[in-house]
Amino acid sequence: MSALLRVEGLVVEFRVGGWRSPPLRAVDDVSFEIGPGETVGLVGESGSGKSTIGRAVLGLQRAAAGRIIFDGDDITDRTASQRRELAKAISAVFQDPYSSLNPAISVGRSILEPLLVQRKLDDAAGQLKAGELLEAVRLPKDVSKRLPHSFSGGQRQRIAIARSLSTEPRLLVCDEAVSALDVITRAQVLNLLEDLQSRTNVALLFIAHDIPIVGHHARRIVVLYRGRIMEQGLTEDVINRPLHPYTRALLAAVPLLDPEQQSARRESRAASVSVSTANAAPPPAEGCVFAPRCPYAADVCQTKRPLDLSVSGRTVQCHLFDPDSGHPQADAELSALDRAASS
Amino acid sequence: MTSGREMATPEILSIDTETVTANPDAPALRRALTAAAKHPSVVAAALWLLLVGLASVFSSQLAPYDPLAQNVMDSYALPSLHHLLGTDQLGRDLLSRLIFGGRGILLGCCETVAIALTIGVPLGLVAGYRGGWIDSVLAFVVNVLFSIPGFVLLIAVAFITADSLPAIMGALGVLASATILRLVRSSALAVRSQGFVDYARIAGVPLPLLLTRHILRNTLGTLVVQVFYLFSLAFVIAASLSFLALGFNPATPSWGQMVFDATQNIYLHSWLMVPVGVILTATVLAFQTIGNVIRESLPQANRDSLLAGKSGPIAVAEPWDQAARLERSGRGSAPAPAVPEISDDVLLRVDGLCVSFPRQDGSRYNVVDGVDLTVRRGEMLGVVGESGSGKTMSALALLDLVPRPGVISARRFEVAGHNVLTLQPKERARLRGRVVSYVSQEPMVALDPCFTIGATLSEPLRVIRGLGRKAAHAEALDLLRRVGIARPEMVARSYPHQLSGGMAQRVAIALALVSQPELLIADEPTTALDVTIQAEILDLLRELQSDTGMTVVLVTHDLGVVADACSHVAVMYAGQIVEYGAASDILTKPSHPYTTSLMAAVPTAGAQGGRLQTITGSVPSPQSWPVGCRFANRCPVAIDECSAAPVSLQVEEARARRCIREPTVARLARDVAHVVRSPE
Repeated sequence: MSALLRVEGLVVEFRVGGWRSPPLRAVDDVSFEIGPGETVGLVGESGSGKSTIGRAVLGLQRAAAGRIIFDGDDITDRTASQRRELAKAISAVFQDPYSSLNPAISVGRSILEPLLVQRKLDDAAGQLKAGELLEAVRLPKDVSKRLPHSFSGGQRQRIAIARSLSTEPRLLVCDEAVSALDVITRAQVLNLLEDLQSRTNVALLFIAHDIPIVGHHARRIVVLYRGRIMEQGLTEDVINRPLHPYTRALLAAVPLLDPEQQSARRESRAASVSVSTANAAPPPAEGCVFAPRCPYAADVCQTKRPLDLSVSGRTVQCHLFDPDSGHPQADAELSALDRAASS
Repeated sequence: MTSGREMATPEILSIDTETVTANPDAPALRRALTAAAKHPSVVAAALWLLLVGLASVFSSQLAPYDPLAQNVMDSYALPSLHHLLGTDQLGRDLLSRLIFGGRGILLGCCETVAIALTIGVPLGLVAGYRGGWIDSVLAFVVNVLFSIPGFVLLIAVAFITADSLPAIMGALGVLASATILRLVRSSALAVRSQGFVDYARIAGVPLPLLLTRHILRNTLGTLVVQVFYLFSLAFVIAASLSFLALGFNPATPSWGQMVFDATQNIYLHSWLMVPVGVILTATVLAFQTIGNVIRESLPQANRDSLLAGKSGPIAVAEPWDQAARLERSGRGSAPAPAVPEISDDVLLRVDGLCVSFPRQDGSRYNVVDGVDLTVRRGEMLGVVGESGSGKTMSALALLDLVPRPGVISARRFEVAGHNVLTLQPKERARLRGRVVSYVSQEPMVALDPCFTIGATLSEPLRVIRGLGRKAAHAEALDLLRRVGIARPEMVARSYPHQLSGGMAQRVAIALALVSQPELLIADEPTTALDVTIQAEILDLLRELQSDTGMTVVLVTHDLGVVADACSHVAVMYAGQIVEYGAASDILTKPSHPYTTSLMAAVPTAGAQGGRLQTITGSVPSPQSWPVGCRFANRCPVAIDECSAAPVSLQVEEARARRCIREPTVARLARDVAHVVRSPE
């Protein structure tokens, strides 16, 4: 299967402070692929660079290094006019439903905007198309003349989805698209995305901080921490048998609905991080970015950046799984893995 | 930062935003203009401007005399039937001169405004949207323009161009373009970061279209106001120049010339100044009035919520003395108390708590509708529900912080032995400061950006606990340590913007602990946080509770948070409690279909793919609650009887539920949710 989107060694930097201070590396050597119609999830906490990756794919953020290849074409440094061609194929849904719609123009015009940019639509065809798109996201089609302020958050998010699907894109970047919605609205919107995806075969880059939500949708998961990929693999592997200590910490923090199971998980969570986020030291300049919070951190983690390792069907960036790293627990972890694989 | 802000329904949003409204579906600017047009002073001002404009256009038809016809025999005449406004030093009819004289100055003002807009708007848009070096260069140009003494420049232009009014007004337009540029730039800067601009960029909208449709249209409100101010400014400056004998030609009638003539004769023939003075003053006043009224009608709060989109229905910053009225109510819609009779260890007890808001016609509707709660000391009660379920409004009612014009009423309202219903507003405010404390979803709201964390914490310690400066500082550090901050000295020296979201929430909790409260009300304290930090904050709340015996009411939409932290849970729907009990009980054996639906909508890690089992639709608006069970139209197991009559809250041992179906049937809702589909 040839990839629809391939991100290779992406680096994004932000200028902070003056021009003399070194730039902040928000995304550091990130590579992954999305196949046609596939869903890939990017998870991580604030500051993990997950949204920045999405913005780089959308051309809203310049890449300092690396390549973004869409359908065989390098789209890393496209100008605005060159991107107009791409706009038909790549679209997005963002987090904040309240700022997603221009308050001064009707939702119908908002929805049709991507189409109007692509080619001229006459009024009647536009009306019809807006109505179809609204029905596809299960809103009454006669609301297209109304202004955004009369819609709730969930409804606005549906309108944003209708707009992003109007050009029948092949890749949809969902950046925290359901994070601002409450549970039931969130489930409704997720189901809607699922239906639309099975109908149009659009590929999803699903960005969220909530691992169960990403896990529910994505076939593969990329776990990010401070701009680096910690672990990447098939969803069932990453969620059921997490390798990287950060993935374990992330999973242990998700509360379960059963209070008894949850109190057991709470115990295991205490073991999954060595120090709270509030008190963690800044990450070492070389070394592993997760080391300050990692319960397995050894000397090597402070001084040497871990390599991308291929372990039981996925990529992990951790000295624990590198027999040559010199990490004291590496041999024990690896033999445990071997035992699990052979049983 | 990730932010999981929960969204309000438009119905509740409309409570505080739709104040001026003829047509709620029109853009804010059009609504503001419509509202302003109904204002009597605007009508008068517009009529005046229309009159002045028409008189200038049709001057030759309207004027009784030739404005240049002299009659020295009849000079300095006071008003009479022949000369309605009298004559000047050469016996020329003042009324005719006034009618003819406005054209030049009015055209000049139009020219100034047109030039200022032509230069200022496009450059302002580009500067604000693009930023970078273009912005820096334009900012420099603006600063230069501002630093030029305007009057001196205009006088110079007048001398160079031999008193040409168009040249003077044109130069004024160039100067004024700096103001317009700066205004448009800052508005564009604010709009640029909005999501819809990103969407437009992704859609490939060409730059000119993007700037006009998405940025300019959302800055028009302030721009329109500014145009009216600019008109009046140009007018005043033109009139002032004529006092200096600049910008007019004695051969043609003009208001400037008339001002000049009147100034020459101000001691002997003061009447000359009156007609032209009235005209000038009235015209300036008219421009200013229209500008002011439009500015007032542009609903600032509304505009912010539409643009920034951050405001829910709750204005927590409401000053305490302005908080909602509190009433004792004789009746309530829920007769049965949720929990058996009161005992000593009960900290909070409310019966029949209602929060109501006025409709446009003056009648009231409830947003919270008869909530009964009993919270014992040391409990952590989770209040759960969707947006629009009334959970946040209930929490604010417990704090007596419902925004106006909301009214809280209750049959019974007791906190830590105080009967809140009989307290004076001042005493209630005292209670809130000392016994009851509050943590909001957005920690930054609680922290004043102007002060260090240390100062923010010390001040209430000194006021409420009466500590000295040093003791307060030491106590502040101690509080920071108690909320799990290992380096309190460093944090105490920081400003709020230097803190991460999780750290800020810890500090906000420390702030709530200042008064050593008995009851802490936390409204979605972890919703905006990452899951790892959420777990830490919940650990912290649990620890604080076991250390101090504090009671916590935690509002959330996340049942996982309830499972992690709460001892009890109250599930709310459409302003009512629909299920109540111990968290371990409810979450393992839910007996209301709504609770079941809420649980089913949560994706569990591991269960991959497929549809989530969820109900359709959303919570009905408080203005259209049905007579029967309010959940019936979305309930997967509803039968006809459900909609027939109100369903009361039935208490069974330590649990309560509001449902007429058997608990086993209600539990089925989870399995049938995905089968039954009602159209939304």
